[in-house]
Amino acid sequence: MKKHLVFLSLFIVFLIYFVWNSSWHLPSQLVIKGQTASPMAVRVNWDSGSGFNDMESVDLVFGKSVAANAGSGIVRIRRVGKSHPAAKSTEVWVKALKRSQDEHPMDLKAFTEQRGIEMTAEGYLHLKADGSELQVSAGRGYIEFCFVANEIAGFVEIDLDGDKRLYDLYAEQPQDKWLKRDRETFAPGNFTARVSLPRYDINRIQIEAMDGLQAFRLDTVTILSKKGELTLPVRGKGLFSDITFSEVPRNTRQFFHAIQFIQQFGFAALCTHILFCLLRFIRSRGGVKNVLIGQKRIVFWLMFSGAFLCFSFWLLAYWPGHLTSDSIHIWWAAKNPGYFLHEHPFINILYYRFLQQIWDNFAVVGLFQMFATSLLGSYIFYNLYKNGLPFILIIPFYLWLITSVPIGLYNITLWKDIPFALLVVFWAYYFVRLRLTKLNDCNKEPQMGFFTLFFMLLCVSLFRYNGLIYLILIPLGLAVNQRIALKKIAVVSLLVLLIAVASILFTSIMAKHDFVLGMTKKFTVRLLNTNFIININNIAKNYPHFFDDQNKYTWYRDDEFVKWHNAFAKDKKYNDFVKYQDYRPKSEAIFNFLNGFMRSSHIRPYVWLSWNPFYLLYLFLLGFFYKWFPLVFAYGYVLLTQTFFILMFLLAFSVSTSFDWRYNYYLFLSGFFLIPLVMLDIKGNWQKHLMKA
Amino acid sequence: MKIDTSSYLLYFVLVLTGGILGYLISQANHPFHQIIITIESSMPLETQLFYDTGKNFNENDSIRKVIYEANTPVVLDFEFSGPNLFGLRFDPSRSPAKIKIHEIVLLYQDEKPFAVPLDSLKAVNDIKSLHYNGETVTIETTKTAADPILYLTRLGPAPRLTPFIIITRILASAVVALGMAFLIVWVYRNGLRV
Repeated sequence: MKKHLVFLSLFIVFLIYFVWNSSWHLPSQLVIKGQTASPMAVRVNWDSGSGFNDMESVDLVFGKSVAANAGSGIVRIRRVGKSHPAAKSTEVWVKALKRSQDEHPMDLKAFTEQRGIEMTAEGYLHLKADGSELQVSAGRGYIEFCFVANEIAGFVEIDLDGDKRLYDLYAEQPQDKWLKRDRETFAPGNFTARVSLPRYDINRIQIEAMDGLQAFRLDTVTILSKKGELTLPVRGKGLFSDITFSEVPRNTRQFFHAIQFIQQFGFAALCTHILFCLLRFIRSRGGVKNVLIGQKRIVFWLMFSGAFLCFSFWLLAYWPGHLTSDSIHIWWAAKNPGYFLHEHPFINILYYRFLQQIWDNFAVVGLFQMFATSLLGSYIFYNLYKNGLPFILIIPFYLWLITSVPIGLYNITLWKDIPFALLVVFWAYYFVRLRLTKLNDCNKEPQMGFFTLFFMLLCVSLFRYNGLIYLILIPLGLAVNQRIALKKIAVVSLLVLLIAVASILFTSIMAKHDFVLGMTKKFTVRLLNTNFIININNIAKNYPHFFDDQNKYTWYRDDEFVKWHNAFAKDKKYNDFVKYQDYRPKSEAIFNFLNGFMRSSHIRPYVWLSWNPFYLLYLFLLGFFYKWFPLVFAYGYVLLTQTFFILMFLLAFSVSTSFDWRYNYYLFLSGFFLIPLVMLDIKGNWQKHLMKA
Repeated sequence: MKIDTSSYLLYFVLVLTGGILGYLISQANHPFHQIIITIESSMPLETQLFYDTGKNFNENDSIRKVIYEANTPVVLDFEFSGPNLFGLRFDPSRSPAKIKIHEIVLLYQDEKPFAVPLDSLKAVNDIKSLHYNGETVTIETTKTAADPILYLTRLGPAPRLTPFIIITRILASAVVALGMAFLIVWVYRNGLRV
């Protein structure tokens, strides 16, 4: 009874934490009312914890919109004759003009005929005197202006069909100042502007004129939602060129969503189950002390800690992890309560959603994957050690694993290939353990309860669609090994199969396209139309090049990449649920070292130890000599079948096997344990030979 | 309840972790602050606000704002972040001018707005006269003014990261961690009993 009470208490603690930690907001709008003496471009920024930034912002214009196509299409650029208090003159130079419909900037010479305009030696247009005006035809969509900004530049007025806006060209250090005007025009006076606010917590909102010279008056700033209207306090009465609200009451926080809650219920149950399994394990091994140091487990803990420490440096360097457009899309879907994407396997979304319950930060994925890789890697090495492989032979491979550039980088990357690879290696080694217990005549099978079997099979089958082949391979392998009851295998397999079929059908119906079914059909037709022997021949030819793709830099990151990612999230409007995160390294010194290390890892001969250990591919083939290499065979049963399937699939669709290196990550990861397994097989053969002798 | 060595070890590790976390949080927390000044000037001018976070007044810890419109109240919104604030200095112009300050409000994160009493402004340099009429303060700089300086002598509940605050945060985190340790040990002892 007490046990159930404890279980229930823990479950409730987890559930409450997940619900509390995963709140979101109803849709709401910031409504700004005020007046302006001239229309002005304004940016509304919000800060969710990483400061104001481009991704968390919206650009708009304060003023009354004027009907389109009513104007002359002429832009008037005027030297006003006023300047910044620190400026030494009121000069205006135009460096470039570019219209939306033109590929190149306009030829500035054509404008020198206009009164008051001259061409400078540098090729700029100079508005000679105060009041001088340059007339330019507006672009169909927009026109961009590049002015020279320096300490003697003054104000410039850009007038497009009566929409007159002033800009300050003063700058302490000479620089280019780019301005852009589109065809939509506005009139001064009263305005009402609306901005959709994000669905996550925000700490501050800032409204700022794009040019400090432009100022506005504010009547009210309110937040409007279906829960009502809340007024933000406008402190100070006068002209503003920027204003920040550091209190953003919204009254829109939500905690409960039926579908989300069902998932949180499952996550809480899973966490409680894992915690209980852990406690049961500790108790079964005779307490914490024994778990830490009994049966030479200190070896495991040292390896685990070392691996986790080494991997964590990569996270510090590339904080908060690495994302591509796919990752952002899935992260956004996972943040959206009750929402499921239909282009990706649902397990992938559940994976991110589960981690988001714990900590809503991209870094949580990196931390989890680092933990899982360290745990799995250290466990395999420790298990090999326990099964008789000398520690001295294990050390080089352990060091190779923890210093591996691809492993370090992939651990912090938000791709489904990483959890998939971990699951595949887990299963591959599980079959090795089954084989080991048989070879050692040990009756104690590697334990796997009903739930664990179900969970691990479901995950490996549905993290990536190419994992679906394990729905057949794993149950078949377990049945042949005869270590798990057939009835259990059958029930679990049937359950997972039903879930897989239901999810794929649901996906096809909801997305209105049949990605999996369509691809399977296409694959089968192409496969049947090609010669089997030619296919096998092609697979054999391409297999040694499986890790060859390193020159394509599948994993690449620099400042531009990060900017692109933020712009992508904003463009797709994912910034309603995806927060901006600070991408600066947590340690510049670690970043400089690891970034250099990463770049040199692509250079020969280092690449053969990092991205392209092609020689391991030949070693995997030792498994075909089942009698002498039973462990490699068991290992390869899970790994090489997937490789065969991937190659078959790719060759059926295109003659070339040029595809992302990340698809092969599972085989790459498994490679670190291959040579120790071969050595254990050789040791076993030698012992048999001695016994016979 | 009998406590064994492993429980002691668990308590110790968790309390230590909690304490370290508390210290890190106290050091990493950089709250935002705002200084909102409603000001009117006889001519366009550039203002500069200096904030002393423990490194005295310096150019890096300052913000410049321009008043483009003369004879109209303008609201200047200065923002900065940091765990400490020891002083504020306002340079209302870099040239001779007549300036009227209507209001100064200090908004520290998690604190109520503090309206600076305008009679507490202190002229330090290049200020010819400073007159408070009960509502606004009028400042006239000297004719040769190059760097007029005002000090804000009343800062309200300015943030200070004192040793007391650091210790309190460490202790609070350690207590939370200790609570968690008790919970885990309780679960460990009772959760697996049949």
